[in-house]
Amino acid sequence: MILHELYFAASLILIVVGLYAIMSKRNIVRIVIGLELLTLGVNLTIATMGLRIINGSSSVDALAQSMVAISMAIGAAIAALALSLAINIYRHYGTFDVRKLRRLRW
Amino acid sequence: MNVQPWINLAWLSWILPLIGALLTPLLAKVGEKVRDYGAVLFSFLAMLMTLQLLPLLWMDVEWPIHGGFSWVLVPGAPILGKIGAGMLLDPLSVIMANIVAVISFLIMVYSLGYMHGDPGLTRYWFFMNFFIANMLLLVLSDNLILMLVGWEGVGLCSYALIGYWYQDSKEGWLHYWVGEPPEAYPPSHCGMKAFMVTRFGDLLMIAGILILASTVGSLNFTELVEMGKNVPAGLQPLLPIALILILGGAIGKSAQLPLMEWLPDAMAGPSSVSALIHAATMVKAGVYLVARLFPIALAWSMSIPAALNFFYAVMWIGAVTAFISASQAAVSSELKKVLAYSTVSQIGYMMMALGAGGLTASFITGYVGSLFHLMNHAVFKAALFLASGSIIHACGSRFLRDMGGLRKYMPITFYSMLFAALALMGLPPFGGFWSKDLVLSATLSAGEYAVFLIGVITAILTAFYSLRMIGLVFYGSSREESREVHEAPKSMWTPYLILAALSLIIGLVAPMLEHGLERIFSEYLLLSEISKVQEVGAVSFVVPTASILALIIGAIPAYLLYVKRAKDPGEITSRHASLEAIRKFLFRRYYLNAFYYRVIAYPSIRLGQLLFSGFERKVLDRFNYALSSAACGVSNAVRKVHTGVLNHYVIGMGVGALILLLIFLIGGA
Amino acid sequence: MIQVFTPLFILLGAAVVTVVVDPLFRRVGFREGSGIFASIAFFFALLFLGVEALKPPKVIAYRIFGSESPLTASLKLDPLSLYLSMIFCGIGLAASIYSIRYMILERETGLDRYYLLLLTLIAGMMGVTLANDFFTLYVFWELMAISSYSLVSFRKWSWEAVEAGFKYLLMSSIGSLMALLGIALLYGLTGSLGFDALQASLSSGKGLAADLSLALIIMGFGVTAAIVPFHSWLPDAHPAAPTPISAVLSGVVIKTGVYAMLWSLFKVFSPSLYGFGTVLIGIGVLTMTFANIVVVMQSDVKRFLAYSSIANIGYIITGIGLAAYVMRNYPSEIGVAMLALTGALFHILNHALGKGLAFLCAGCYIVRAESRDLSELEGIGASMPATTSAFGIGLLNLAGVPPLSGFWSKLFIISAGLAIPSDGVMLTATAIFILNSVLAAGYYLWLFQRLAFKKKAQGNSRIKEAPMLMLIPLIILAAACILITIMLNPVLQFIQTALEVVLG
Repeated sequence: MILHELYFAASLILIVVGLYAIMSKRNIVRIVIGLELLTLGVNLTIATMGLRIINGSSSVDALAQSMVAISMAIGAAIAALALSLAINIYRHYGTFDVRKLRRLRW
Repeated sequence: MNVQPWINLAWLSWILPLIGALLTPLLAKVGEKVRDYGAVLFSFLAMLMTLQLLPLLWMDVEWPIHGGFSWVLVPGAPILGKIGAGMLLDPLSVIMANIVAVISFLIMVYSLGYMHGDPGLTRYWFFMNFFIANMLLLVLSDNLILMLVGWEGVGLCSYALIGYWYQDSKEGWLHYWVGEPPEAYPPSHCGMKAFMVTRFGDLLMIAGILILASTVGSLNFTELVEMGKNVPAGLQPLLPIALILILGGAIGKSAQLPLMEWLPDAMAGPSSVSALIHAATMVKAGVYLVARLFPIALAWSMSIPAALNFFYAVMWIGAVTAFISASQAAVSSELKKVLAYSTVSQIGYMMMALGAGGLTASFITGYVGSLFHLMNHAVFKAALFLASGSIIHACGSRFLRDMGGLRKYMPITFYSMLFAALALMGLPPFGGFWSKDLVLSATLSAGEYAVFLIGVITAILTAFYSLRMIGLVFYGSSREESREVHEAPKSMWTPYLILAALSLIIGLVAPMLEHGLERIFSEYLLLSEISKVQEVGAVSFVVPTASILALIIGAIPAYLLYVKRAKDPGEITSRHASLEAIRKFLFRRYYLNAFYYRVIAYPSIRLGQLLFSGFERKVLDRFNYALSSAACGVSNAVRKVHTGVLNHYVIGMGVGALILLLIFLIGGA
Repeated sequence: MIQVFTPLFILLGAAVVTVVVDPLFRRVGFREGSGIFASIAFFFALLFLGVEALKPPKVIAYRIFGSESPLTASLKLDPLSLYLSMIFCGIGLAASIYSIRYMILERETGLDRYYLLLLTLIAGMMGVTLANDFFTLYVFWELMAISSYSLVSFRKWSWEAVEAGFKYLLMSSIGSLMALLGIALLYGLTGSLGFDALQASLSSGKGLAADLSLALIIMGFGVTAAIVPFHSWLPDAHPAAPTPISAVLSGVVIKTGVYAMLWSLFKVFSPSLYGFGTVLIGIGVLTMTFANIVVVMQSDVKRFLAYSSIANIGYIITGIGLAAYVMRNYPSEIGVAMLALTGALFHILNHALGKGLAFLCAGCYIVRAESRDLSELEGIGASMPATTSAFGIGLLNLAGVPPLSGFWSKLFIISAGLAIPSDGVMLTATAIFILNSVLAAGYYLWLFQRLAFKKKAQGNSRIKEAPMLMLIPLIILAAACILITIMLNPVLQFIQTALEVVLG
């Protein structure tokens, strides 16, 4: 059971760090990294939910595994999209600073 | 028996002209002829649909045929229950629908020639078709709300068509203004007046409908009878009140006392409009409504004796109106106004018959008499109005003093108008004679001798003014030598010739027709155990004798004065001051019109102006400005939340999520 | 099984084929080819769904790989899925037909990708409604989300699309991840992800983890549904997207969020056990009030319409919240809950039609006037009568003017709110709802007046009517508004059979 708590704690830290990064960092790329951390944390949570320890050997339930796999694929796609948008932003605005992305407001 | 095809015919008959009205602007883009013939086509289709409903009358059917659908139905819903729409086919609606559709079609054909070349024709066709749709909806609908929709629709069309020449140009003085100073009115004013007066009646009607809805719980004609009987005793006195309030709407729409002043001034519209709306169909809507309420009131009067007051009110209002307006027709100086007053008077007859019918055990006479008179009147009055349109066109003036001696120039018009006028007077064998007799018999068998007397006196006056009109227009020396007066074009005289011939034909088959109608309706309205079918002519010979006598008494002076021109009426009145005083009184419409203007209209306008400058400008406008600036201020402040910085947005999300979490964790789901 | 897969396959298959077929069309010079192809696909999907809807209602559940193992994905087809899928396909069809001419007028390139993305967007949404377990739901959800991110930032040459697209992507991904976290918690609690299994396990309240999961699911799906603290992406994303996509986004994508919330909350966490009704009412009220306040000062017509979409979501959530509240606190008054839910679901349809119509018409105006600013668009309606008539019908529907159907959906929610007069929460919520409806009616009519009746701004005199191919979807949608008004009863009956699935 300690294993479960450890993994949960790790995923919680990842999620919190990821959210913090998105909320406070100025550089777009760091924000995307924060998103990736968030994804990682959530995936870890799913995997931990599927963790079964039977007689000392641990295995993760098949359903959890498939979910994580698909979620990682989706996360990759989203990261690719986000980064391509970031590059486009650089082309338009000349900077990666998210505070400069204020033309759309109010 | 599968009733759906018949119900579909009923739906189609009003939906088709509605589509026609909506298509008119589009057709106008294609071409003028397309638009004109297209509009007439749609009214033809409406007529086709209603004619196909006629066979129902002699088939063996289970009346009433009722088909509809509920529009909103949420079972178990606490406040909203059923809101439905449907068509009701019974002998009354089938007959009325046919009267409306056939006469409408003939008038549309007439309009092709009469309104030719007028610049605003698209508007005209639109409103005419829209009117036909609404009128058919009115007579075919199965509940008071749907009927109200049609009712208001015809009111709108009436306003629009009376004020058709809203530009009020002074050049139209002889053609389409109304009245003589001090009561001369331009078309736009007349349209507004018609709308206002009928609106007042409509308010009363809506109040009555609301009372019915809340006490009885249903507004469907087929359900009102039964459900009315289940109303708790405490609420029962409200029912007759509701009926009389609804009668208020009928009074407005049918121009009875005290809301009759709009109809004479409605003559500012084109003659085809006057024929359609103000003679044959819309003004009959009030009679139709009373006829619809007739079996309901009769059934309720078994348990609530106060319901009989409804019939008293109907009868007396009809009788008094009939007399008053017939007397006004006798001195009118304009051709169309004579016909307008005559319409009011004849509708008074119909109301009289309905009212008297409800007060007697043999109610069939009154009911059938009123309906038959409605039918006859629609036919001959439409003929008279259409012919008057031709005459005014030919003479270039609406005043009777500018007409005369037209008999040799316009023979077809002369014979059509003569036939129609004879029907109006009640000369056998024309149709008017038979229906007028039924009306008078109804009053006699109800024991209302005073009303009978009023009816007879009105018949005298009717004969007088009809013959006066014929004499002034067609006899005497020709006034306009210089102007070329010629007969109307074929598309114009065909409709009214047909109608005039129809009034004779109906008269010839009248006894059979009456018998048939009585049979149909007595089976349908079988309400009490004591319903005997009263046969025609069983009420002695008093009535026919009285009516023919009245005709002769009225016709002789008119003949002498106006046809033979033995004496000049102007001379007679200048010699006898009392006669001149009576003439002036009648000419000024019993000063009722002036009363309405002085006491109600002008003060209201003043009050409105005072309120506008004093209250609206100073208080309300300032309040509105304050409110809107406050709203804009708040909006500008709140929108600053969207700073545009992504981090802020995500922080907002986080805060929101946190609050949500806390609510669920602490509050406990 | 066919019923479940066919519409999905039509759309997904068409998506793949479009990419192949479009270069061929373009070589022949037939630029509209892929658009027409996509529209045909939408049409067939809609036809198929329509035929299914006419059959007697039943629930079809199907598991891929059909075994008992939790590895399978299960799909379902029930009246609710049919109802929503038809709305999605319908708006998709309208947008697709509109795009044929619009994209060419706007000189866009990469149309093959555009139609591919549009088809997968609608397919994803349909898949969400067809999903019978959380896993499948998440997969289709992400399909929809990724397609929508790409579509919002479609115009890469415009700074607006890129900025809005990025913000949208970020916020929406966070939302999806939070929802996924919630789903994971449920999985951890019960060991399965199928809706029926979850419903069974959660019927005996599970304490802290279930509450946490509930909050996360509301937040997660709420981001896409644009409820208030999570809505900030919407006013940027909807105007930045090409107009037919704005119509689809405002009309149906945000409704998918509502559906996911509705389904998870009502099916998995049943309202009688978990008291989320008050929270939903609070969220709904906050959303509609906030959006209605901010909307009036907007000068960009598309931003104006975007904010009003948020307000309408507020109405729908309030309706759902009222139903949940009633089911929790007054279990005997199930009729009231049905009424509120009927109103909410019907409002989904009305808003989709009305807002879709409004956006498409606004697009016609923008294309002709080449500006999105309201002060430059004033009075343009007079030169474009057909567009303006359709616009008027759409706005009247949204404003809730009787007898159009928008009036009825709001009336149902209000009547449900007033049905239990002793309850303060419901009464306050209904009062705020009525005030907001009045305010909304005011600004819709004000918008219409500005666009249609005011004097023309200078330079607007040479405006012609919108091209025919762009008018056709307007006419279709306007006719649908009127048709639904006339055929209220059959539509309501259908919604009620759909609700029986939700309420069980």
